[in-house]
Amino acid sequence: MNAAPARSSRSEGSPPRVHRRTFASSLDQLDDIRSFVVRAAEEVGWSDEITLNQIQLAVDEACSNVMRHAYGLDSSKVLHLITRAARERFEVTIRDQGKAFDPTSYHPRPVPELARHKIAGGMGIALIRRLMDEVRYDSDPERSQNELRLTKLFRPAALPTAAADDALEGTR
Amino acid sequence: MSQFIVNTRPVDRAQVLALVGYLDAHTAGDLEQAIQSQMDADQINLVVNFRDLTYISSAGLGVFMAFIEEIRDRGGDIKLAAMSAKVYNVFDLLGFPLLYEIYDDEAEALSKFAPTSDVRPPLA
Repeated sequence: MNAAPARSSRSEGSPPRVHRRTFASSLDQLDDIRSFVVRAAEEVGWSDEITLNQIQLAVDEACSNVMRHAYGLDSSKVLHLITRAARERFEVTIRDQGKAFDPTSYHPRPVPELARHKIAGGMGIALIRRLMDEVRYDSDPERSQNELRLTKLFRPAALPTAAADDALEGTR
Repeated sequence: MSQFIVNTRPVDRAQVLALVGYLDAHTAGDLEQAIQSQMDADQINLVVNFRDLTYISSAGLGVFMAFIEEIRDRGGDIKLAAMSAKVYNVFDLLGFPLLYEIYDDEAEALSKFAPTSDVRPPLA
């Protein structure tokens, strides 16, 4: 509700590009998952290397958590990924039917404390929160379905070809 | 599938572990093994060269965390070098620069293990 209309006029008439793919719950799928997500973002013009890395990293962390903790590394299970990509907003939804775990209510310990206790895990959730602008989790026990939705908003640095304005900065 | 290689070579008083490819939850075990075998051989001065590492996730960072205290207790260290901007960004987000020495290049990291560094300066 600030300068956003100026940006939306750039992308009017271009609804988000949607891609869906199902992956086995196996850590050797992480590389394909990252490629799938990066391709979807690049397709609509996201090109900043650090931003693309941040998106793929957040998705990698979320998916490896599902594989390890929700499914206990059972490779017969699957994860469903849906990307909705537009120039100003990139969204990825990860669905699973494993044990529910809400990362938005988990409070990771600070890294020095993790190091002192030799806890190698626990950093993934901290990363997801720092890397993405919105993190939303829903669990439907009746359908045994969990859904994590991660959203990254466009920053001027992420799309050097776009006119640099302060619209997004003003929203934060 | 992720490709990841650790190339190890001795340089002066240290061992350099040069990482190549993608370090994620699938490949982190390879790095864990590489560091463990150095420690088993009493090689505790380690420089990890990130120049050819394309990607790292928290599983990779976790490997360094798992070893750092023991290696320092034994009088050694893991020094990190030559990270790309995007790899450094991940370390930075989690506050690792406070816990680890991170250098621009391998030679600089190696120099910190140089024999002169632990010799008292001559009296004036």
